Amino acid sequence: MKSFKMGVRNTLNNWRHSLGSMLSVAIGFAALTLFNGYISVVQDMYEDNYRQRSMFGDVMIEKSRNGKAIDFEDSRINEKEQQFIENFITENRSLVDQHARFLIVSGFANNGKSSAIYWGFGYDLEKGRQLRDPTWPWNSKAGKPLDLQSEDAVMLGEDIGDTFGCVPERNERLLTKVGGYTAVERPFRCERPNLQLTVTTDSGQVNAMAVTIGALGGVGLRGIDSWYLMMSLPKAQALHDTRDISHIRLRLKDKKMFGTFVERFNSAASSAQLELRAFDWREHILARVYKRTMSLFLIFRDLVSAVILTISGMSVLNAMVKSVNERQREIGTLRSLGFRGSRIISIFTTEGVVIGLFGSAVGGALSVVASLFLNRVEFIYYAGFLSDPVPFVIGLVPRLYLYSLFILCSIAAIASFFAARRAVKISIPALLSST
Amino acid sequence: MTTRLALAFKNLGRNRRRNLATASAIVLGYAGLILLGGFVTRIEKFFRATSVYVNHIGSLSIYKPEGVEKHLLKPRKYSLSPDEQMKARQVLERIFPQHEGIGASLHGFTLVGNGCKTWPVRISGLEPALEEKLLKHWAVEKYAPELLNSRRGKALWEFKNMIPILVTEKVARNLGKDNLNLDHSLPSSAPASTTVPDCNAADFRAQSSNDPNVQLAGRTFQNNFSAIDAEIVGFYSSGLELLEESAAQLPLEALQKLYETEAVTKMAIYLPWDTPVEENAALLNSELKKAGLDLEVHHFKEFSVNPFYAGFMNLIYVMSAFFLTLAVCVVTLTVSDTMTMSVLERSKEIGTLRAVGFKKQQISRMFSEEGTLLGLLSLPVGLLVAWTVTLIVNAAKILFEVPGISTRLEVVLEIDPVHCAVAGVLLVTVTSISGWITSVRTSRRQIVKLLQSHVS
Repeated sequence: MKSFKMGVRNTLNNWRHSLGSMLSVAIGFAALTLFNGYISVVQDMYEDNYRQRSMFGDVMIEKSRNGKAIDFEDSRINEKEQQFIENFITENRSLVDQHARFLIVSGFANNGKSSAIYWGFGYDLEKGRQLRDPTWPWNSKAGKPLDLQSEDAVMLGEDIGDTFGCVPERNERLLTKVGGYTAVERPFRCERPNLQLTVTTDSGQVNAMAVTIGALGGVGLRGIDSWYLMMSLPKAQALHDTRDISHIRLRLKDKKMFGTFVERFNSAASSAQLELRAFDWREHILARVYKRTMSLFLIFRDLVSAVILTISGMSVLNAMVKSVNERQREIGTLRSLGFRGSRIISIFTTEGVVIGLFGSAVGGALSVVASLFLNRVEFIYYAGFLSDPVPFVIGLVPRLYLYSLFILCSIAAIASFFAARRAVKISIPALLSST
Repeated sequence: MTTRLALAFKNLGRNRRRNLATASAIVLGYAGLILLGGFVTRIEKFFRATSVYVNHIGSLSIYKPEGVEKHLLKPRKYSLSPDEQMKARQVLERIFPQHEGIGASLHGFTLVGNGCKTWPVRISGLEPALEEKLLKHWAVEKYAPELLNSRRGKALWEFKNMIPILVTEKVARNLGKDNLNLDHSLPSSAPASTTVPDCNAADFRAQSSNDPNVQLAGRTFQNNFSAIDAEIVGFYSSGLELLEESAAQLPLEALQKLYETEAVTKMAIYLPWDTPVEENAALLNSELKKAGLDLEVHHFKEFSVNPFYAGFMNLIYVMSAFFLTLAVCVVTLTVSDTMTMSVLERSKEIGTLRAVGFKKQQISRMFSEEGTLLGLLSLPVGLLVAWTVTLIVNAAKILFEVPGISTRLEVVLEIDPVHCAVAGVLLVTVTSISGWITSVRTSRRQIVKLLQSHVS
């Protein structure tokens, strides 16, 4: 505490030199928090798009072979296995918040005039809506979500909708500031309102079914929306002539219980001699775009952080060396009074920490002001695969501020330590006679 | 001028350690910008080579008005007739004599079957001769070798008397054809007869897996049912993960036969690699209008024709621009900081210079030149650092995964002279302005005060 007080006093007494170091820390802090704040918002957007809008939840349960993943399109969970999963979920209600069953559907769609390949899911509509809560209960850009329609309705991705001549009546930006669409039925028109879906079943038989185009929406991922189709699970099962499903997705009450749930489920399935596997949805092949996008962000984040921190570190070291050099007489006096070298180093190191704290406070304020300003400007752009244009937003994430504070204070302390260590090695007469 | 420069140079040597630290900040900032630029350039070139040549988007493409959006909905209405193709080709030949290729392509959906099971695919009809030229293009070989390496079997242009088809490995797997012996020489003409398979036979799977024959079925432009036979001659990759599930290519003529048409979805022109496409798209548009053709021109950077390239590069550019802004701010402040310290320390010196007749502007210019010199001296070192890192990274042959791309890419950093020049000019300007700004205030003070001043 005494060292800290001395550090504060020294910083204030030598404010002009401290100012240089503080500025370096402040700009480093602001740059770090602004860039990481931006990356964290884009990461959240992608996560929200997968976890809620695309209903991935927290955990997926799929078929496995010898405890290992199989091709997801070959995964078929039969009725007996579904019952086992349902029983397990009922027994573990304290862990599971929501869950829904999904069956992959793919084939050819035709409206009598044009045809296109479709790929998507049949799912439990009501439970799916609960998985999308609270941000995406309303997932349709035009028309109503499927859970508010008859079982014959399908939702088409916006781009495949285009192929069938289905377009929203109004072209508007729908994404709200907190994510999700406002729950309003927006009209759309189609060249022809009905589609015929055909599939080749597992036995090689070709099945067909007539459906109505009930909504345009999709999963908000460019490319995927040019194939995407969603329908009710019973309809999808009827189309494929099966009672099986592809997988189950669950949302946990507490994400921290992920490990417990997965361990319990996998051991229960293994005891029941069922080839089923619970795992993090991020490991699924369908989440590959998410995973790869996140790793690209990490490459950028690390590169940018490394450059910013090194430049700031150099700048702080520069300022601290100057500060220490100009206070050599002071150091000489302290040494002649009996202060040990280590004590003097600790005083300067503490001063470095204080400068780091002040600098971070200034940088923090700068970062908050810049973030608020940029967030107000609402510069709209397309963020990679997200099909909706999104605003350029910088997140104010306390964790990032604390992390930056720690890093920059450490850099300031290390810079001060090295600057002071050099000075205390000089002899006392030389220190006292320095100008 | 020479005296001032000599003075500036000497002054830099006076505070070597501090200037060295400032220089290292500039060096790192510059190297960081070059490396980031190198990374972005690598990704951009891969995407450009993939979309323009491998996926036939072309540097510029010509569609019917609204054809990009509606050619699958109403293929007959939104396709280019033979007359339009001929006239468009004439215009293209006339205004772009330097082109590397002009070609037409037809796109649609079809069912591919093995006699017992069918699978829907997005199919492209291509001109085999042009396809050969495009896949042997230096840009594809240099920037997207991963895609060439992932191809197996033979190519479309190698067959004249039969209908060859290329499918993705996933399509082949779904049809039970993934174990075809593609390296075994295929017949150059169609088999004399094809037998109807017995789908319930025990050895059907084994038989089918050795048989390259598939049937394509689809709706013609007149909305009738049509089918043709084709032989799988190879597996290919479009590079885009989403297309790997269901994509196929066959000669344009064969697809036109299946759809019973002579029309094509679009015409594309392949211009030399660095040709600016935006202006040329506008030029082509006006020339087509003059020729009386009501057609629409697009370039490969447009969202409508190349959403993957446009969306992804947009994100990368936004992140890079943000990084550039932050890096420049950090370097500016670092340099200003050093310059401020330097100016404060040298207040007496400034006073002396003023006393012997130096003008305020001259003094500011001297400090500005000091900054410029510091920046200029740091740049070659920054370039050397970036070059060394580039060599190390490129030699390490690191593979990384790009979202949406089906193959892993090798990290090949490429130092772009234009990036180096722009970043260099930017940083030198920043150091120069910093030196000028920090000295202006001090040089305005009274000479007496400057001479009396001491550094706290």
